[in-house]
Amino acid sequence: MSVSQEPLLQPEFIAKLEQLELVSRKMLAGRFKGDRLSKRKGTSVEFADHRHYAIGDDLRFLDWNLYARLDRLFIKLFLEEEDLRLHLLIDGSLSMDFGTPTKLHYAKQIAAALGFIGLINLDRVSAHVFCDDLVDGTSTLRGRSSVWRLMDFLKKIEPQPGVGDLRRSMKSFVLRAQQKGIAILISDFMDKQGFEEPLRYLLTRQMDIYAIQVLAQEELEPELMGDLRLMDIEDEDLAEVTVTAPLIRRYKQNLAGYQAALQSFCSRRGIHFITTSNQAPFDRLVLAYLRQRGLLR
Amino acid sequence: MSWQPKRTENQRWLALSRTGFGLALFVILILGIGLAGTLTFARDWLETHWHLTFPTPLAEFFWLILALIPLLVILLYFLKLRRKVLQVPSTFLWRKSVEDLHVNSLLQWLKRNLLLILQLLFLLFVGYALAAPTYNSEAKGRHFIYLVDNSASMSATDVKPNRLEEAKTRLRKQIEALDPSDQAMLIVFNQEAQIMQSFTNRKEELLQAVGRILPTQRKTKIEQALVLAEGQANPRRSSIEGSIEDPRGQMARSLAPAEGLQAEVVIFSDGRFDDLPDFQLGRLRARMELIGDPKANNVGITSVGLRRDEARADQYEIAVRIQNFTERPLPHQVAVRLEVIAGGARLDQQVKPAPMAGRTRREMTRSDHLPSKALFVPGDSQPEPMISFLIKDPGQGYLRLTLTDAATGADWKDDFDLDNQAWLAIAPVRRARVLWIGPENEILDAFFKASLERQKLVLSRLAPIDFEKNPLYQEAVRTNRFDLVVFDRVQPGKIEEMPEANTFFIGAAPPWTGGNWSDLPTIKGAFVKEFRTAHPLMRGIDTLQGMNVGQFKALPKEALGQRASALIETQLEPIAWLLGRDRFADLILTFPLVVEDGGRMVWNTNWPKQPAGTLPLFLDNLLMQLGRFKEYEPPTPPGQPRTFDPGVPVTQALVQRREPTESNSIEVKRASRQELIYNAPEAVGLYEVAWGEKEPYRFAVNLQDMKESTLEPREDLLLGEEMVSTQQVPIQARRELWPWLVLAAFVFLLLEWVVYQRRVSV
Repeated sequence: MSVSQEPLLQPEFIAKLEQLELVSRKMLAGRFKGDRLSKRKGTSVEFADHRHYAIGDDLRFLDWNLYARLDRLFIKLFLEEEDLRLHLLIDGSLSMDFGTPTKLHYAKQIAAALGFIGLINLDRVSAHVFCDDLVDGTSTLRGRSSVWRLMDFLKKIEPQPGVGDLRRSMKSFVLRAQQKGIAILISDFMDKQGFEEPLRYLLTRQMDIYAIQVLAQEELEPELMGDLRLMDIEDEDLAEVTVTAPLIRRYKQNLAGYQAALQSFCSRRGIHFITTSNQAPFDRLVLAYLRQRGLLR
Repeated sequence: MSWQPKRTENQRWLALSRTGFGLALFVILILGIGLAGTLTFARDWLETHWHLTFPTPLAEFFWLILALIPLLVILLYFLKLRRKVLQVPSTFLWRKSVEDLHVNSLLQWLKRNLLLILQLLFLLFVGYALAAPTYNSEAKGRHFIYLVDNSASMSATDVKPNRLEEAKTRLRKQIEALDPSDQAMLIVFNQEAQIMQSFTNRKEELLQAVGRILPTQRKTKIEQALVLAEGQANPRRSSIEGSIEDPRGQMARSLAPAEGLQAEVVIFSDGRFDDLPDFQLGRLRARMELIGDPKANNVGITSVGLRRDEARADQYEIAVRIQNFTERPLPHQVAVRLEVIAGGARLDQQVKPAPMAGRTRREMTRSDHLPSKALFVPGDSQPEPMISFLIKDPGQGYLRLTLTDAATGADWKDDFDLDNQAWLAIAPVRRARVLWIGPENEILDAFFKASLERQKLVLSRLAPIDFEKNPLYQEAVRTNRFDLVVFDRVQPGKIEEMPEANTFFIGAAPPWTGGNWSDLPTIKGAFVKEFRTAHPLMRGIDTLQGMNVGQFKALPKEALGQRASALIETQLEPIAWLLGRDRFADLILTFPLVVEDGGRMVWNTNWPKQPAGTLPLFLDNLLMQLGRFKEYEPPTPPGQPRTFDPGVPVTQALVQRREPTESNSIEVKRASRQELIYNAPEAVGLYEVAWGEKEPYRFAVNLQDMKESTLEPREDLLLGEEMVSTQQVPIQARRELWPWLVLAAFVFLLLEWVVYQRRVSV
């Protein structure tokens, strides 16, 4: 399936996105000064604490009033304001190239929307495409001026040949991304090696993780008939099935079970898990659903 | 941490499907082997044991091809050639689902393979249908001769609605089961046999013929029916039949004797007829369909007799025999009612109880190698077997005897109605027409007067002089105007002048060639030594001891002719002769009753003075035998032609049944003969015949037949040297089973379609 030529984000939708900002429940340390408060003490106007003066401290921060009262030297500490690191991880495997619109397109739209929000809020945004490993990625982007670069990157993402390997991709990502931040993993999570290990990799970085599962309608409500050999588009694995009503039922049960397992795994580890269909209106997902889940404000 | 699909569900189903599938496969295997077997090694066995044959229209070659098709289907299934490849994002969940279902997969597998099973079943059934199994395939081209008894006993209602209807129902079933190639004929028999339908293979005709069978009240005689059947089946001819091929390839002809048809005779009857040990069945095989319930109830009147009371001449004594054909004795239940009806009114009614003994059974040995035969002896009334009534002579009219319920007085009800009533017609049944020629005779005069009073005769009298010239006598010579002509001491001069009637010569003799009565010498002083006691004319006469005759003559040999018999003999010569003359009889007393002695008449014999009134008895017998007087009309059985002689020159008469009342009357015309013949008194009852007289002539038709009244169906039947089976045999009908098999195949096809539709629908 070719890359959709239509823009990932519509202008009127962008206008709505302008109002939003990314929220991290964790106070995450940024590298540069940014718009958000950091755990680190710093130079903002917001008072945080006092501490004893030590030699070498900046005298400008001495609390003279306290000195006058207590005859002791205290240094005023202020909260540091920092930027937020936002990692957009997009599954570019062949399996994402299904559905109308393709799951990949849907994933790109989500990434574009969240990336845009991050950029305009002076967060540092990076996007990565993975398949059997991390395939491509942007450098860290910051500021409104980088929006076009992000969009350009997203637009150019093509389904990657090869067998998707979530585990390896996540491992590579974690090794690279030293900094904490928000990681948004957009995938269908249809990995035969399981989802547990890749997510655990992400957890090691203590990131605020959002796992967004995008499924095509064909996966949710398969409309298959008869005796078929199903070919896995990635690894070309063949599964011979005779589609019967019980099989379909069983498939749906399995799908629901799988989603439930993902959900339970994630919620126990503080990962936000969101599942969506490529048929769900994308703008509602972002404007309503993600806000509800606390990713956006 | 892993998510697990539910794997425990429907364990029971699983086991069931596992066995179910195994079973289905096993069944298919057996069916397949069966099909192969029916066409090969098991063919003969099935034919002999199950009457199944397989006249398949296919050649072996086609069967081989047909056998390949299921193999091909199975091959296709295992090669799964028809699976379409479809790309999916991931087989991950599918594989899981399939694996899941694999865990309880046999159900799934069975479902998946249910189609295979159904297809195989379909093919198998098509195969079976093509084998064209036929049940009782030899049951064709057979010949059946159905003999249906419609005699009186078949009207018994022990089986509902009655035996004949039951027989007809069974017969209809057999006819329905006939193959189109079978031929059958239908003979109905009672005392006669009649072909209702000759050999045909058209069931409608046979069924119509069955519908035409009507009950009769006649006796049962099967001989004629069997002869008819035998005649139909075994034609007396020989024919050149068939040919044998000899080894050299030449055709040789053989002369085959006419073998007749191998026909099966099926007798629908209650079997109230005798064994026929002398009957030759030929190529017939006989089977009997016994109709009737051994527990049938019947009490019947089996004989009725009437005679004038000897002590009082104006009284009749009626003796009735009632018999109980039921095993159970009936000590208080039955009574018999006698009604005397004359002039349309009931003059007398008497009811007498009839305590009945039960029926007994006796074994009768037939012969050494045959089973003994059960004989049923009906129970008589107790203590006397005959119940007698005394009634005053009504002079005319009839008697009605009815079995009644002793308790209620209502008519007796049992399974057989026809023998519950009997009738008897009494005088004037027929009066003797007598012409008396001769001088005064006080003895004869007294007798005739008394007889006239009792309406026994119609008397005409002629003076002895020149009687030959009298027109009345001339009429007697020409026609049968008179039954009896009495010549008292006169005789016609020539043989040609003998009347067309029986004659009674007293002191005279009919003329004979070469002699003359008056020339014979007179013998005197004879006494009776012996007489013909058994002769009807001497009926009721016990003794003539002490009877003597004054003067008489001895008839010479040439006067006697060939059919002469002496009735009364004396120590000298016989004094009473009975001579035969064409169809008439001449009774001759060689002595006169009275003789002239010195100008007055004196008795020549002491016969009139004999005790016990032997002379009037003798003369009464004469009136009955030669004058054809009847005191009462003996009843006839149903179906027997009835002749009656009106005695007056009428050409037609009307016969009507009076009891039970029947409105329509039948006209009987006189043919060339003197008597009127009424051919069809088919039903019991009292009949009246009118030809213009004031009082109609009556006769009764009673069943009075012990055999018909015995309702017990017979246990076996000996026909020729064979014991005929009375077992009910299931009807062997030829059935082609292939339409059912095609239907079954179609059902499997339909099922296959349904299953296919169901499993693809989500």
